[in-house]
Amino acid sequence: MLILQLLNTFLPVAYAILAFEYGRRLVRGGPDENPPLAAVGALAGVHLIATALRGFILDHCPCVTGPEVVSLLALSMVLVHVVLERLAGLRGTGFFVIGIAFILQFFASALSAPVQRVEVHESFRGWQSAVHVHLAILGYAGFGIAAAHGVVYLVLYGLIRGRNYGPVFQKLPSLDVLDRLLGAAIVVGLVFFTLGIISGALNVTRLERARPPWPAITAGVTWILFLALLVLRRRPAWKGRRSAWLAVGGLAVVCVGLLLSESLHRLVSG
Amino acid sequence: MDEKDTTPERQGPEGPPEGPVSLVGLNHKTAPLPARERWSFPAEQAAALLEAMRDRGLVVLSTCNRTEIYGLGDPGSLLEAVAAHTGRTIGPDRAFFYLFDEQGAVRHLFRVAAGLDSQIVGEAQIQGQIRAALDMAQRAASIGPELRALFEHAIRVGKRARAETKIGEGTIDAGHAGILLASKVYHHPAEHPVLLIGSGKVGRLAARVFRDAGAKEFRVTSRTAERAAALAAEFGAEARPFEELDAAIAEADIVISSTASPDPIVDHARLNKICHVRGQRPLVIIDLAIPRDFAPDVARIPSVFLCNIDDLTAIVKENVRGREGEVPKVERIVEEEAEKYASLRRYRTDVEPLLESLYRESEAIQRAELDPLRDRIDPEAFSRVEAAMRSVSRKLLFLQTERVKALRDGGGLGPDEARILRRIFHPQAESDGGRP
Repeated sequence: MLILQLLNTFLPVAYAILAFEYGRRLVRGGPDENPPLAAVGALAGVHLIATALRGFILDHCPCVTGPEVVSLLALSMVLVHVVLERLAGLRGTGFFVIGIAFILQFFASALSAPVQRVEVHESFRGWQSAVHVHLAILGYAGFGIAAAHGVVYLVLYGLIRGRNYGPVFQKLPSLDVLDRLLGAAIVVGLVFFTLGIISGALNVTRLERARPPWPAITAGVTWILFLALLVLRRRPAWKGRRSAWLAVGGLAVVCVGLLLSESLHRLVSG
Repeated sequence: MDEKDTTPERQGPEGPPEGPVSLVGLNHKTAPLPARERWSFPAEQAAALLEAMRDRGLVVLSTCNRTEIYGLGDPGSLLEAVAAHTGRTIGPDRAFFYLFDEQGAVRHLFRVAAGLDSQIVGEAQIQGQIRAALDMAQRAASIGPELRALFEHAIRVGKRARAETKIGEGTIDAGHAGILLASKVYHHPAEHPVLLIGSGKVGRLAARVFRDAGAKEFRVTSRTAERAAALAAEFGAEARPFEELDAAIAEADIVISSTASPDPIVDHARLNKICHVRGQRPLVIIDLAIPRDFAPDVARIPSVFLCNIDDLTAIVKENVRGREGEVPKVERIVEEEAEKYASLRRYRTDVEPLLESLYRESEAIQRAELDPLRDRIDPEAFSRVEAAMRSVSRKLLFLQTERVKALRDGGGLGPDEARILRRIFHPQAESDGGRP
């Protein structure tokens, strides 16, 4: 348990340090560099190990409580961002993605401290629930990345209109690129999330006991919200700033839903 | 200042002399504009000076920000000689001049080539100006191998500084600043329709930058049809009547405006309607007119990104600040190259003659050993022995020469190393204090 307590404290601190390093490189003048991939990879590796240890020591799939899901969401966002950063040569958005990952991990760690053993329903130890949860988390990660690009969009929009042409302005990608990435992340997120909902619905039919409505409500609201955003984006007036605000607001709704609905699927203690 | 060597040396029977380089000059940092004007050398005057002072081995680098004269011998006497040959009075202007000799002059030229001494740090034009100064000196036959090697090395330093650091990156003119700003809204601004309003000079310059960047869809409009037609011809664009300004703005994603109108030609209400027609698609307006063509409050429309000449100046200043962050790296390159150049020069002046004398001595020893044998063995055998001895001797010397060259190329041939080499291979010259 001690190792889990330590990792639970270490992760938000490490994310804060990494976000600080991204931020420091973003605001300083001169060459455009990201922190070394090794540092980001090492943190993601530690996060993965922490998640695996949690599952092993607590004897359940480490994505069944709200804080666990939020923590996995932070990890997924970081992994997706690393891929984007390296493959698409994207620069300047790391601070925002890692910053959001830090906020998510901070709440995940705070709400799961002290780390305690929880009882998980037998049915959630099967592969069906693992598939469902992972699909849903990939969907949430898409929405999280969309929200991160929404934040970057709003920052750059503010910098241009505020006539602030410093290093941050110089290093961020253009508004239309950010808007396209935001749209693409929502599409990817919605695909995985829809599959997650379908697999969740199939999973529910296996369960013998009655299900509380919160998870379904949270998932439904999230799905409707992002689908609506995708539909609205077909109009030029809803692209750009409005999309950015909606994506950020959408992620906030998702997080509040996940964290406040006592636990994701009331899997603990029957 | 570095060690002085006041007299030109090794003057050959033909061509310019050889010896340590010195520099006299003034620039935008040391001299006000009137002084720079007094000491500027337009091309014809520079050519005449090179012709007149060929015996001093001269290169004249004269730009709007600097006049620098590189020659041989003492820099003080070089300045006096330049003044005398051009009929100028030094007088109080002496305070504006900097004088360097040997490594000081080398370092300064390398800093100039790297853009460290320019008014806008890292600007690339200076490299072309150094190349032009070298070409002019070569045409006038006023330059020897020493100065030629120095200037060619300086051009390489300039290229290295720009290749290995970001000293030359970032926009430093208003036109490119406009593109940069547009590129923060549209990733590829050249792929979006551009509208040029009015025929103001600054606006045309900015529009040229967009055209050169590959803008395909270009439209122009002006109050007078003739000007609009002229602009359309210049930019290969479609001319739109000024009465259709609203429609033209609605079709464009980027607007460059520079009319001579004393009042704004587009106000908030008018642009708001246009933006409604555009479906709130982002509109970048680069208003370069003074007084402004677009009322300042149009910036309140959410889909409008309005910038004026002050904004473009601010972007340029930011970029210059970014370049200044690279200065320490470039200074290190300059220092490294100056050491390398000193090493190369030391090799040319101190070590190469030493090696040549070693080869000569080796030949003499061979002859002394072989001559007694010449009449005692048959000619064919003698030739074989002679060839074998020569081959052994050359191979031995070749190895030593290559090691010295490796030291030179690594910038490690300092004065101490040169002295040790002299002491080992030519003790007589060392004790005489002279060269072999």
